[in-house]
Amino acid sequence: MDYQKLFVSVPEAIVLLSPDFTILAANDRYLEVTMRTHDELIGKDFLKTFPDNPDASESKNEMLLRQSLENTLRTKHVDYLDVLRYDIPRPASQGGGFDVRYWEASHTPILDDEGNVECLMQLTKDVTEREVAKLELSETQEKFKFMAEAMPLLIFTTNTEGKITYLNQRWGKYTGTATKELIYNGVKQVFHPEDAATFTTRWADAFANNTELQMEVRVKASEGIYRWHLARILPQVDESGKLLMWVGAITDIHNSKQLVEELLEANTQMEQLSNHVQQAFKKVESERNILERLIIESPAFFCILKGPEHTFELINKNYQKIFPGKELLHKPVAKALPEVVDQGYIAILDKVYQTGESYVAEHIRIMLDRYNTGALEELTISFQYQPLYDENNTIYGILVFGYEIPALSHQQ
Amino acid sequence: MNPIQLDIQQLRIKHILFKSKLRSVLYGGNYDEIFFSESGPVGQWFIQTGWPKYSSLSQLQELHTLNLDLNRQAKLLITLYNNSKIEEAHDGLRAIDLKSDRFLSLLSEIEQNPEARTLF
Repeated sequence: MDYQKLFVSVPEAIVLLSPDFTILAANDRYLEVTMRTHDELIGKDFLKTFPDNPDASESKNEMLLRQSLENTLRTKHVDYLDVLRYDIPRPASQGGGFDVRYWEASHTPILDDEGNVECLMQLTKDVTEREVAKLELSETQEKFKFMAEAMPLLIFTTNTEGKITYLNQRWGKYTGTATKELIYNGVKQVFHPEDAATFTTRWADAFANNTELQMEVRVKASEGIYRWHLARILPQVDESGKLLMWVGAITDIHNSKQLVEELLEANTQMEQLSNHVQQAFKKVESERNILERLIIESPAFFCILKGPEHTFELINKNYQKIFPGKELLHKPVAKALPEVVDQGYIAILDKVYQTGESYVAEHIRIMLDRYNTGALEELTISFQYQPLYDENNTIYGILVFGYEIPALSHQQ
Repeated sequence: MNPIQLDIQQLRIKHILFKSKLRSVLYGGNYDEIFFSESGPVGQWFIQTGWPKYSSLSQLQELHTLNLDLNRQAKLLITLYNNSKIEEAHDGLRAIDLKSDRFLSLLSEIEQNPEARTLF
């Protein structure tokens, strides 16, 4: 067996040093990981060959290396070095400078027959990849923590067993209960008892099936009042679907909930009111229709005159019967019935409109141009002028109401 | 206020009540099945007022279709809520709002439509 060949091709990086730390031998793997050639190393001072990276304060491990080697010399036992950052000078051919590296190493003393250290064997392992990943993970965790503290939510995480592993500080601030206590007793202790019971069942179900849980819970604030929250708890799984942890985020929805309830109440009342208005409107409308029909069909004559010009606004059938040949509606009395002006009726209407005093006439003879021919005909009538008031108690028109005295009784 | 304005205002109020009621259910309020059906306030408006008085209006059919759509969507969101998809249900209110905007703008159209005034 060629031990020299074996040494050279062992897949672990090995370097042999004399007790004064001169490099005696290095295998292929060692040359590879340190980016060095055989001639660059053999016979050189080990510690000088790999100086600290002057640009990185973390790379100050020459001292640790020396300590470990000296330990091995003194104790004659294997000395293990913790993971250390020991940047490797990059050869000029590869751009120079330093290559960031993390190492694990052990120093084993090789003793001669008298038990003295003949040489030292360093077994070293480049763990850069693993360490960088670890560093990135811890950065990710820092980021998560920062975000969790910055968000206006109550946040927690649990491990795969459902045991709380993290609560953000808002828990303590909001509930007034120390987070330590919440972690120990569970967050359920600050839930409303009714919700806590439902939560237990729902959480057990979600936990057993690795499914998301969403529910509304009342969470007790430090002032002793419960506020509604929306709790959302999600299982975090890896690519293979294996559960890693649970993340819970609890949002305060109390104000929204309150607002929604108040709005509903206001809108419910508004709808009732609008139904009342509609009903009232219908009632008024139907009463108005009845009254209108009464007036229109009445055996007496009726009309409504509106405004200071006494414009015909409404005429019933009997009124129109007096004037079969005339269009009266929307015309002022003086224009529609010019023959009454000189008989003094406009003056009487003006007085009623201005003073609000009713006017009653019994058995009055009046000359009218009934057929719009210019020929005047005498009629005997009884009638009243009644002022009409609006909602502000202001006169807006006059109601004319009366009946004709038939010619026969008139003659009697 | 004329009778058309009064009828349209009624429908507007009932529609807003519908949205309020839906929001309330999605925030833990009571669910009333009839309210979200054709027999709810808006559905009743169509039966008692809309079809008898305004069926000749081109917008009425679209309003009715929109309302059926809103009822359907509301039920969907309520189902989501009842299945503990609370956030998803709240998100769904956005789609309701879009349809509601259309509903309300149709109502304003009718109010301003001279064709509607001549129905009386």
